[in-house]
Amino acid sequence: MGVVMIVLALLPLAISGSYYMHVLILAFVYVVVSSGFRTISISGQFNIAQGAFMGVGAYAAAIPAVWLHWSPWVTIPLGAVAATVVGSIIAYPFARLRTVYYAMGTLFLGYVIMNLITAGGKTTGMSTGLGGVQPLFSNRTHYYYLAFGLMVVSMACMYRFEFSRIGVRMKAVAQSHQVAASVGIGERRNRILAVAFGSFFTGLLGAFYCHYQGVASPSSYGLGATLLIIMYVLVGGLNSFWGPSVGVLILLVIPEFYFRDLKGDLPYVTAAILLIIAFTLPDGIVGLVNLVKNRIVKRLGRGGLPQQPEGEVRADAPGD
Amino acid sequence: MLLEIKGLTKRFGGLKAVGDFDIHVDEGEIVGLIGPNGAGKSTVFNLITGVLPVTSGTNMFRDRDITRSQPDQVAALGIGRTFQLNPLFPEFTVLQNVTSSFQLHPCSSLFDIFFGTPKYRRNERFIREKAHEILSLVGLSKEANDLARNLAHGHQKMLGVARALATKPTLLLLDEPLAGMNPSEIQYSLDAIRGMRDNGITVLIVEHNMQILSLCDRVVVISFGEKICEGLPSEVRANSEVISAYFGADYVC
Amino acid sequence: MINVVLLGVVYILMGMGFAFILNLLGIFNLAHGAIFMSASYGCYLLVVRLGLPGFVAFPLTVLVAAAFGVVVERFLFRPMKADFNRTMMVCIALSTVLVTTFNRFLGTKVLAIPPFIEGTTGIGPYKVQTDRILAFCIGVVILVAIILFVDRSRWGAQMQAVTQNREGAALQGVRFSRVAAIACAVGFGLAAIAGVFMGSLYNLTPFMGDITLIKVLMLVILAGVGSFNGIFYVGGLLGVLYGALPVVLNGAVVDAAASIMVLALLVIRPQGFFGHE
Repeated sequence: MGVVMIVLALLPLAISGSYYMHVLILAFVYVVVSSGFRTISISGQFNIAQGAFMGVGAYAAAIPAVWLHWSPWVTIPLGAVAATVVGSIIAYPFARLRTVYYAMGTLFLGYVIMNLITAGGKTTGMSTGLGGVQPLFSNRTHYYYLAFGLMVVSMACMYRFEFSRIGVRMKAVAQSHQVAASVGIGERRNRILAVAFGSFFTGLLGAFYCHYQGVASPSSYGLGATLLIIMYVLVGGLNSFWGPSVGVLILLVIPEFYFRDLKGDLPYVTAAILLIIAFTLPDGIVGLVNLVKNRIVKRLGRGGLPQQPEGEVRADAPGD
Repeated sequence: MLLEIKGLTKRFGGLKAVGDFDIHVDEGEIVGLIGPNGAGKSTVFNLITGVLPVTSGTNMFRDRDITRSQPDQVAALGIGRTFQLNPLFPEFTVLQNVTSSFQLHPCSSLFDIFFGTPKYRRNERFIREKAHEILSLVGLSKEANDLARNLAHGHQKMLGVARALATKPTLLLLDEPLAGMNPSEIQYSLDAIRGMRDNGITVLIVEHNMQILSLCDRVVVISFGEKICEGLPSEVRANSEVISAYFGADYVC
Repeated sequence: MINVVLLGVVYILMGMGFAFILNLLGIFNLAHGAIFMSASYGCYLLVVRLGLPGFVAFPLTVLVAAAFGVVVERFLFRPMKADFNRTMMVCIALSTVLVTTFNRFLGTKVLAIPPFIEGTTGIGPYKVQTDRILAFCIGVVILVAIILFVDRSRWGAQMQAVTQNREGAALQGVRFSRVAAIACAVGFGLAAIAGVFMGSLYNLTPFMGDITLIKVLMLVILAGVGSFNGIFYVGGLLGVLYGALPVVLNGAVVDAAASIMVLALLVIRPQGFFGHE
């Protein structure tokens, strides 16, 4: 993990093309947003409104930035807070819904949110998006370091959230809300907490992203974005902390770095990867890595790793 | 009086599952709530713990009205419970099942947990020790690191009890603790329940297995959602209404 | 006006198909919109590129879609064992492939399925295109047939049994795999019928499935999971609302009002108007 961090921190010195840097900034955004999705999911909520939460953050930052000329240093945190507030309010009624119904409800919800945003007339720029969001920096390297910093902080917070007693509560609620309630873990309270926490970082990076792009456009945040997020999470592994990061690496960074001439055919490759994962590796790539690691350890005659059902991947697993 | 329930009624649509049911439990007692299958025993538990909304009636626990409380609030007040089916978190280990159940005593605030303050770490260390203690009490020390879903049925039930004990309950509600157990497991469980009472926990047991009678200080019999009699185990055993409820009217001499 | 009514029929057909798969397999079929879109394009290709007459192309499209449903059930859905995450992956993959393919080869052109029958028919003072009336009649006949199929036939009874209690139904000798295959065939077939109707109403786009899927979700949430007939009633109601209200109100307002109604219902009565817990 440390090695990955140092490499990422020094990378701007080595890569010259600003395109690569752009891809990495995009990757940092999606790593956090996808991990936010996973943070919500550990309490048993498959939130198909994640892209819209990102959009709430983006527009909450873009509107004051464009119309009131607020500083980006104010609007970006504002975006995070707005996403948290909207997320928590929505989470309250949705805390009663489970699995398929929850997924259907949130898919619909995401559509409604984006619809309301684009219905805002001139204020939100309708379906073409709100342009003229003032940039933070003129230099892309600065953006890179800001995105990197935001990612490190967000991931550290989410790691702490999951691998502490809070995460245990979330996982307990996800497994059996009745048993959880019988030991004093309230379902509704904890599910709302998970959504609030996950959507904070989602909104934060959504707001950052719109300042980086200079425009808040509905096409970056709607159902399309949500489906990308879900793909990253499921391919990397929904049950492991580093899953979403690995998913972004495989489905975003590697294709953009090495297979750009494939562009039109890329969705087919993505679909093929999804199918392979669905058929053979329900726990995603990180699940496979863990499996192989356990095998090797067993082969070495140390009797295998003790089982870690918390899905706690050791820090030396290949990260982002 | 620890628990006092008056006029408890529950309707599902037009069907009356529990009707005008009274029961009270004093501190330090073991009370049995017995009756044939489908008599509404588990429904009474779900009504006490707030899993199901009450149609009418009042539940008082330590002179506090808990009729409309949510299940987690009821647990926080000191009522622990076990479940008849699926009593555990299947994807946690046995040990994690117990440690995750320590939500109330000692309690760490969200701030403490998130920032890993010394208080939180102290609490967690204490919880781990306590959890091991509880596991050895119910005889699951050897299985501490197994996944809960891989446990044998009897062990799962004992784990359910261990989890309930982790909430440090004043009143423990046991939902058919003997169902599906073999004779030696039953004996072990009966001893364990007696042990809990000796540790100062009041116990209310739902059972249809009559072996539980030997354990109880007082027994309430329920049939078709209504109380048909109440008394000492010996009295209840001799009561003809009970026999007819269990075996049908033909058996009454 | 007839367009709006026909649109209502399209949504009901879609909703029914979606509900078949949801109720019987427990699968949230994200690819339903993509199937709908593909059928639309498929019918277009048959009519325009191969020059088949409409009354051949239409049933052919539906049959192919139904057969595709059986294949998808057997080779994609069944191996997933109703695991939510895995079926999600499969549905997204399926949908991605279909949308990408049609977008790539036909996405840039403005296409529409030509009318089956030219000309108009007078109904009272109004003149209506004959093919739309025909489509409406076909749609209603199919809907009635489906409801009768679910209510009266042996397979329909088996399906209802599976919806209520899968293990219990299995014990009664209902073969789940066959019921699932039928459900997928019917579900995909209905989506195809809806797709062809839609393609004769509006221009085709590779992304027409997304918005339709949203409308379908609205329908299913309002009607309630587990209810077939509810979809029929709610669909009719929505059809009337969407048809009548834009006359007096802005269309966007109607849409927003409907959306808020659905969200409100989710809060108050998550099982929908016609669902039961």
